[in-house]
Amino acid sequence: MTRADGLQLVEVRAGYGEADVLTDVTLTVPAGVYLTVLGPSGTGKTTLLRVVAGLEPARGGTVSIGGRPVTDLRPGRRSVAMVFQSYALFPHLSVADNITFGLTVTDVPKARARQRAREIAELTGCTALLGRRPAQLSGGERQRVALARALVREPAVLLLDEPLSNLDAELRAQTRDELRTLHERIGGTVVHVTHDQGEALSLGDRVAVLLDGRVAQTGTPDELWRRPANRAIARFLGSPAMNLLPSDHPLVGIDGTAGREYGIRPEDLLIGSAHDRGVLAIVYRAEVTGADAYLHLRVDGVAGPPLIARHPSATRPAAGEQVRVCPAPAGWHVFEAATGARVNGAE
Amino acid sequence: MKPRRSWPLLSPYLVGLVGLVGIPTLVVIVLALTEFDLVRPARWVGFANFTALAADPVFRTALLNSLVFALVATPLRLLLALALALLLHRRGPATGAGRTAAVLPTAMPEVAYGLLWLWLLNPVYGPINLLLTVGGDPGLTIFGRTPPQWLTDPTDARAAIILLSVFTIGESFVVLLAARRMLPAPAYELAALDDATGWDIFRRVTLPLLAPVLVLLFLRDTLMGLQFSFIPALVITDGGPPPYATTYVSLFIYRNAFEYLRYGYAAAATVIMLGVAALIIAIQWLIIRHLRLR
Repeated sequence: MTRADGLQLVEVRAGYGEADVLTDVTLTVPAGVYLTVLGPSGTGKTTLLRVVAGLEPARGGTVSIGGRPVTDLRPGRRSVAMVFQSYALFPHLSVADNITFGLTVTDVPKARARQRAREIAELTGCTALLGRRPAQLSGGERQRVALARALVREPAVLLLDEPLSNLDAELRAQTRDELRTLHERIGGTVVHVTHDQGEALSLGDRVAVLLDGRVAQTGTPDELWRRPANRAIARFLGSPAMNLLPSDHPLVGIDGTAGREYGIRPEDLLIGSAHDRGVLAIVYRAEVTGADAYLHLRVDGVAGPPLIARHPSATRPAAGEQVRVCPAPAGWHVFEAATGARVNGAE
Repeated sequence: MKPRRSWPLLSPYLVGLVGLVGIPTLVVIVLALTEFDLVRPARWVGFANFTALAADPVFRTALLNSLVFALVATPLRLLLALALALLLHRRGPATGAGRTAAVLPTAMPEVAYGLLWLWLLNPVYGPINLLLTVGGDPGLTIFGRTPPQWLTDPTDARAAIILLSVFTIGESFVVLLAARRMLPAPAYELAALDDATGWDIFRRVTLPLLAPVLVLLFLRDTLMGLQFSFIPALVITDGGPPPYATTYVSLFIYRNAFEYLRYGYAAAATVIMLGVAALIIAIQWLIIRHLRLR
């Protein structure tokens, strides 16, 4: 378990007031790994970071950083740095002084602190901003400075709270690449929380899904996508969500076992013309999102929510047209209907 | 909204400003150049009042008393208000009671407050001197064999007026409390993550962020300090002990105008006081601007 020396949480409980936001978080992040934590709003992602940072007390469990328990240490002694969602900076200090603050208060000599600030500023691309005040920075610039501030003390764990959510789409894509590049250059353990699946899956070496105050699953982005551990994770990952069918649905066919549910992602539903193989269905709406269109299908004689299938928008059938729907081979995710646990399925 | 449209809204205040500040100031300036005793018609004397004031040892004592009071009491008052605000800005056990206690002396009518201190400062049975007593030996205090003679010794009396003034800091306290509570919480979390000590946080985060409010309160309190000493000096020490140890300019003006009926003379003293206040504010302003640009 030597690689487990990054960050470890064991049965951590935390919350505000009466309610626990995090009920039981157990999570291991090997050193040097970029972990993204994905969860819906209000699920305790920020609380998780604040507990790791020590800004919020853990009501139970232990937090270890670099193999050393830090649960009872104050934030400054944990070797963590955090970039807040608001890109918080000291409003009264210049960018340079903001970056050196953490060095100055720990008695690093002034000349060395300035030297470090320049290096970090270069690394994060904010050299031109050193003389400015936070009020004179744009959102993207603030974020760079907040990142530089966080990195200057060379923390063992870097915590990023929704670092891309306040940026516009173009800047977000660019910053996403830069975060990845930066991590490859300087290493270190990163915990990046986000509610954006694309961001979580594309950035993380590993992804932890946080649902209802606990880590529902941890794995590589591929593992999570291909083998979600239960129905809730399967439904949460992917937009539009995975189709869930009862075992007696015509599309499941004769393989259906009673007491199970069958999930299939929109991209695994293949659409053919009326004389192909498959189940007959009516297209009653086609949602075009650019290159792809999401077809809302109704299968004859089956009630319940519509099937949603992804199809290239250029060749999409018109609304009202009758088509054949056929599941892709190995596209099925099978769950226990009662517990939601995964039984087997797609690779 | 166009700037011109704001005039109707400002006009009620403008009426007050002109009627209660502007015109009286002009009247005082004119009065300062006359001799007037309410009985005989005012007589134009030019700058005679000012030359007489310059030669008046009582006025010089009063001016010096006022300046020393403002110089010592203002920083003390601001420091105490800041300390209390920082102590009580967080919700905790008994903070509500603490905040009330910090504001309460300011809410008291000034004359009642003064009379209360007359009892507190009594050299024989006053609680202050009783608290200063050391051991069982009556008369031995932490200041030596002789306890402070608050009401009869000139230096002790000046100290007493300053002492009682540092408790009426409710307004500054409330303003600083509100200002501290408005400071961004993330700034303190950043400082905590950077392992800044309490002193560093105070010096590098709290103080610079509160600076605009502190400057405002300091300038205002200096002006107040030049006037505040009036009621306690009247009620507690009656301007004494001799020679005029607690006769401040405000009391000097009051005596000359309403007791000796020398309105011209009092008006001239008022004009000088106004000039001195303006000068002090100008000097402070220059120093502050210099510090800020640095």
